[in-house]
Amino acid sequence: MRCTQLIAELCAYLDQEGPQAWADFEAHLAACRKCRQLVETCRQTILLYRSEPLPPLPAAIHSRLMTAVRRARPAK
Amino acid sequence: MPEAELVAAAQGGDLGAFEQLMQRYEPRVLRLAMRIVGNEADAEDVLQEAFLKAYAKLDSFQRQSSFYTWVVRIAVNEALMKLRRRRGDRELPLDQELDTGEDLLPREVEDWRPNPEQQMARQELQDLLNQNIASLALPYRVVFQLRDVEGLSTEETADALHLTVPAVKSRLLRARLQLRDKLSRYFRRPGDGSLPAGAARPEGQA
Ligand SMILES: [Zn+2]
Repeated sequence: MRCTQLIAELCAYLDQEGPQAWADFEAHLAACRKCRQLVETCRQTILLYRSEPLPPLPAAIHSRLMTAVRRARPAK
Repeated sequence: MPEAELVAAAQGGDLGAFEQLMQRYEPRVLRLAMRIVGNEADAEDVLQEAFLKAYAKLDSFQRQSSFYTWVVRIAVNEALMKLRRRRGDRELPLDQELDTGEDLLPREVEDWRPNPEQQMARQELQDLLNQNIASLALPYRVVFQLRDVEGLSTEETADALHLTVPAVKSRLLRARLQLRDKLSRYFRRPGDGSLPAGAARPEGQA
């Protein structure tokens, strides 16, 4: 496997998607420092975004939203 | 109350149940909208339009599917419409053909310092993450946001964006590589020797 092939399969590997066997991929990783660093820092990039804390919604926005929904409520 | 019961009650006309569903997902929908449209005023509009539409279409929601994914699809659609209506909008269209001849292999790869999230204050890190995703072209930042932040599957993302599965995959790869590149400027280990002597550094690096 070459570095470019590894990159083509990078997402499938990180997401552990698909029925692929990873022996070739991992053999390349073991031998190629650059690809190891790439896989690891990609993983960290995703992790940083996945672990972003979600700020709570300001109460004023919620009440504006509810007012709009109430107004849209069909008359019974 | 479990979500399925809330949805059933909301579909039966219980506004309080719908409000609880809204409260569950408002912060995420607002963040998603913000990531697509890029400013708070438009993001709030999108949030409101999305929940109004969800409320109006509540009867058509199939209870066996995920309410969150359903709301996200509506919100993405509203956000993209908002962008299209915005005058002077120069975003790339989502289905823009990608230049496949481009070499995706990053020229420069380095280890990061351990625990990058501890390298800076929480707010500073948050600003950095926001800025970097905002600097991606639309097709990349939307796909990254849906797949990696919101946790939609490749198929759900393709569905929400009216893209093919291979198109989602290639956008996700490019998005991840671009973000990794941008973050590397902040998190790379100082003095990493992986760069061959005399190699050109990409623009904008010290
Ligand atoms: Zn390699």
